[in-house]
Amino acid sequence: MESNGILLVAIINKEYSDLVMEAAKISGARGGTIFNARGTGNKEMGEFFGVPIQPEKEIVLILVENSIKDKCLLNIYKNAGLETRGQGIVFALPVEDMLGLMPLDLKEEEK
Amino acid sequence: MKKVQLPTKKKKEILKESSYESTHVVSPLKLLFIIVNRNQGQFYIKALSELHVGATFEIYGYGTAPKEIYSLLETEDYKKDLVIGVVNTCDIEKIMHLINERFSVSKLAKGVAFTIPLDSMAGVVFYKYFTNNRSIKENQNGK
Repeated sequence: MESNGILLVAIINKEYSDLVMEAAKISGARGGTIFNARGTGNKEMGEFFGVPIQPEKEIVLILVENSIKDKCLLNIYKNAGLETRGQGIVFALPVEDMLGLMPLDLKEEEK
Repeated sequence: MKKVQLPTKKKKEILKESSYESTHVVSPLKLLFIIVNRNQGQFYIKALSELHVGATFEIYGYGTAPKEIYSLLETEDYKKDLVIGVVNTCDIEKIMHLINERFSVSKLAKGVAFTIPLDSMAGVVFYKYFTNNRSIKENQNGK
């Protein structure tokens, strides 16, 4: 079953998920879900006082409609991309069998 | 030094016949995501295991609406449960029906569910694990 949805996944430094959500909401997204994670890529950081340092990350999941996917990706890249404090990366995954979200056109009709 | 014997034609045929695909129904897998209010996730973990889903995981997450709104409403709905499961494509309809029923129980039980197709997997063992192959019916046609 194909749906019109796209899942945007943004991996960003901790405390900077607001940047991602701001950019997504400007582009038309309605909301998202955040959960905590740890990065593994930065080996140079090594150990500090004998304690291994792992950069704390946040993962933001945002469900959007296909029509606003590119706008969202671009805005998130500008607002929270690798050149910003958030140092985020973002990618899109195809979504099938979606439940619980009302399509945008139906929502507008209700208004 | 021992010589390595290459499989003969007969052996190759036997191997081909006894492959997993020839005795079982193999259908693609999907990653199922269910995002619901905190403490609602356990229901889905139990329900999915009853529907023979081999692997389910629960992660604690947060909704992104401003926390001030939630505190004004005196709820803690910004805390979310994220349930992830690897499900067989042929079971999707049953599972989505169950989720839809649960979403309609009350406002607090509402959430979002979706699937993402899986492209490939490393090894039959993982496929067996994720599909909980004890419950897979043997393909009578042998295809």
